[in-house]
Amino acid sequence: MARVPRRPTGSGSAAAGGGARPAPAGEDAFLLSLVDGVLDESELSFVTGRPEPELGAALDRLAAAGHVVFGPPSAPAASPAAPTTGALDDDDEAGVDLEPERRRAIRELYDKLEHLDHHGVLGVAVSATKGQIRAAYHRLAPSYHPDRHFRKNLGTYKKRIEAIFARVTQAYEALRKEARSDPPPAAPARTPDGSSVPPARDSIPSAPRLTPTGSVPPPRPSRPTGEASSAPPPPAPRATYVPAPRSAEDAAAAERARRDALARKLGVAPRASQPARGSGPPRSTAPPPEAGGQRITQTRFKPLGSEPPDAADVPYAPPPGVAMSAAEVLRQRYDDVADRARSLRRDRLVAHAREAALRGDHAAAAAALAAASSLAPHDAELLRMAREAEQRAGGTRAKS
Amino acid sequence: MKPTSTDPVIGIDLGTTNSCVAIVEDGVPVVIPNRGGYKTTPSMVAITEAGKRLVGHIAKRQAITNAENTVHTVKRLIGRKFDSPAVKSARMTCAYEIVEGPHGDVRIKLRDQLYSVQEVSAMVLQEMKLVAEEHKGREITKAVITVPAYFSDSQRQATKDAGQIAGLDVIRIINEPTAAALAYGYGKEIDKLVAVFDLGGGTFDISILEIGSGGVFKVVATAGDTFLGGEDFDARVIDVLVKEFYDEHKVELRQDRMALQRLKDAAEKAKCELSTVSESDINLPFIISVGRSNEALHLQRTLTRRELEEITRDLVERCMEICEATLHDAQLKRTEIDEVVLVGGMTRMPLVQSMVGDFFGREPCKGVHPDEVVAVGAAIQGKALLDESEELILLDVTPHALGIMTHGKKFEELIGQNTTVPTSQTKVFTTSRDNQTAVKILVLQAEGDRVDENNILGEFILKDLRPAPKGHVEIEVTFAIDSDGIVSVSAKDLETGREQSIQVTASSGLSEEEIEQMMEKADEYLVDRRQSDEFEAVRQQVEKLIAEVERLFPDVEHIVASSDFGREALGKARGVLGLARRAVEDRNLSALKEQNEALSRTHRMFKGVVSRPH
Repeated sequence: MARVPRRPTGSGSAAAGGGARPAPAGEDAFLLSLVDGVLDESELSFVTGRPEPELGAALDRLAAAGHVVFGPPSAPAASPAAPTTGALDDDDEAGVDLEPERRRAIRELYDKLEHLDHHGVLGVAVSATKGQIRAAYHRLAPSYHPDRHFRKNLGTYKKRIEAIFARVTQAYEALRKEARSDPPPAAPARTPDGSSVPPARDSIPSAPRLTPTGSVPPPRPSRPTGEASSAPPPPAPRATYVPAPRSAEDAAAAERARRDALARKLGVAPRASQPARGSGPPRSTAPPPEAGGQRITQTRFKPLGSEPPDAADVPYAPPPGVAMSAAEVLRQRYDDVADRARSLRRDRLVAHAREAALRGDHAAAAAALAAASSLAPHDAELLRMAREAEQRAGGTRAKS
Repeated sequence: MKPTSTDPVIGIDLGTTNSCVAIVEDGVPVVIPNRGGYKTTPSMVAITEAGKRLVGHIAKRQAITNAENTVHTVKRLIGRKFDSPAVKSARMTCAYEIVEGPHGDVRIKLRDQLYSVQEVSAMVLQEMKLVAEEHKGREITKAVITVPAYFSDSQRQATKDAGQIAGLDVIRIINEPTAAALAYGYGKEIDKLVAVFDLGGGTFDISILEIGSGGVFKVVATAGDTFLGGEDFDARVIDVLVKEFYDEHKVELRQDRMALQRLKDAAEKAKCELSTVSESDINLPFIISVGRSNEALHLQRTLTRRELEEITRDLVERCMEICEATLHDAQLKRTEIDEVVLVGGMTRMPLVQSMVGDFFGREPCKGVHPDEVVAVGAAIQGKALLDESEELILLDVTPHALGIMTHGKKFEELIGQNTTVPTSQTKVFTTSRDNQTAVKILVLQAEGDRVDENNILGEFILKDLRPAPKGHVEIEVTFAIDSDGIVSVSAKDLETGREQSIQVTASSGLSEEEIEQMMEKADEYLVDRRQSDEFEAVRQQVEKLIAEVERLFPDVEHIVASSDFGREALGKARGVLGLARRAVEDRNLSALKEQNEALSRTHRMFKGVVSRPH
């Protein structure tokens, strides 16, 4: 079986690569940026276009330099974007001025953040009213605001609490604004991040946000939302409804959007040139979002018009929306890989959930299934399993 | 150090014209009156000819005769550069001398001594600290201080430094309108959208808050103008008076500092009166003397409310424009506001009240005291931070947009105005030149809409980028603001993972050492002040006893004159009286305490003698 390389855990930030270890250059840097503990050797070979033996050698070089390790697929919660306790050094816990229960609650919510949409983060139904949404926010925000633990030693929990708070606030503000502006029937609905999408369903044009199928899923946290993206990210699974059949056009748009998001998440967002050289951002394998706030990624393309040289060495902020067609073309190239990686990951998550359930760790099982379900939003069976697992987890939590 | 809930924490409203201090006692916020019984203290500091420091009412009382050594409206200078327009205009209108400090900051010259703005503010804060300590009968070190919502980072930092100089641990700086909302909503089970309209002595702020029944105070939007306040209304009145005086006598009143100070007082007084009456007399006899004969000129005039409203209407309109823009930015309609709270002395003006009422389509709430509400809110926030049993939580926003400078000197925003903190944002940038190997990250804070007036908060350089065509190297820039308002910025080369970051500490214009020195000076003053306070208290007792003993003396002498013992006792009493008088003259505290003891014994004895049955 092909090896699955991953980043060594507990190694701190990716910046360590610039410090202790010599940073890989060129193709190896790009390869390293793809290593996320999910893609295996053959998949990586496919993505990079390098023959498998050569790729294996490259991975060996990276492993020798300490950039990657080989091992079993990581548990869902240990995915690079969300560390678990396992990934934390004991030092992180030392002297933290928080009740163990509170710590657990913070960790659990933090680990789940990535898999939750706006409604999920706030713990409200998609059909929740403005008042319910506000009440939920007023209940949640105080308990995840650092002032609740003023001048206490929170260690790494400070970042986590701040990340949760930022995410909860982001969700609330998005839903608040959404609830406020009623778009005219003909106008395209607005996603919370402002990108426009086609009207969700012609039959209920005036109130698309009130129907499950029409509700536009929000961007996930810590993922590039892509200001210039013309399509919304994929719908996230929700425990409260089973997606109704949508129009073909809709589904296609959503599917494309999901691919976009996934491709970008995998760090293979295409460039106008030199796709395999140099600048593979180690984003997908980077440590968790530092403070978990929203992340904005601009289109990362060279502007069409060349700028006159300027002495000021300030960075350049490319205007959004440039060269999107080039992106479309290149994106296609990675879509299949992304799909494959996604289904592989989903299967592993399900397997992991089974193991966890057998061990009696319902919380872990529920988290894994929720993650799996988010990868396959149309899989009703998976959704049902996730829901049941969540109930079981809830039950055990209540008992303990 | 772990704070305990028993640590008292005060809330201080450090105002442009007046300051106020409050504390939460047994869950009830109370405003602490100063020695004179007033709940607010003028934010004025003076140095007398003898080098004595005067703060508050006593400073204000002697302001006219000692205008050049009396500092007022120092808040307008705090955290500003000497060459800023704000300071320039202050130099025009202030009677005291403003000079440039060693770091381009502002210093104030009083009796040939230079004081930083922070030091002067610290004197006011120290006074408020003393007022609270007297009330609680113990030392108080923790405080929450309020600033106008629209204060910049350096102004906030300077205020924090002033607190430090005054010997206070400033646990948080909060916005004045937010504090007002806390005071308004504290302990109420409400679920409302509230607008706080705060027109104070020097600044105008508008904040929209969501108050939830669970004790959540979420700021939705805030905006303001740090140069729009009661002082501007006064200035309009002064302008009119000066112009009329010039037209009549061809004499420029502004050249005379004392005349200017008297005008200021008169204008403020007239303005305040016109909030309750429709006409006010301004009467300034002997305002100035001119010519060789030193002919005295007098200023006498009646100002009507209508006149005042005419010359200041545009100022109120400016407030309403800011309100309008704030609501628009928050995507709110006027009708969605459930309550309007008025804060600041200027909101007593009928024109302000009626225009606010018209704008929001509802009568403003009258339940809060405009002068005290801010200090009360600060005290509540202090209590909420230190006391875990307190449910209340304040979700504040950053009033200014933050970003970096990009190619073409453009401001690229990372964190928008009115973003709830803590927050963090990330954007990806590219190089702007071929083979560029270093990139400079210039951290900016936007001041309103004027891009060129951005404040530079800090800068750093990310080096060793791979030489490549422009646009090929990507740099990820992350901005984060934590709950204490501390901004940190990091830039990461996405290729190598190399990272550079800084924590932006706004400069208040003073170095660490300078602050240390000022703290020591302030501490010395405090020791002196405490000692002199104690001396004063004992002296009063002693003088009272001296008077009592002297009153009883003839009677006692008459009664005991016949006995040897009596004569001896009378001799001793005379001795004690003499020693006590000398101790008072010498200002010798320990001797005075001793004689106080002796005197009260004598006094008891004397009283016993005169009550002897005959």
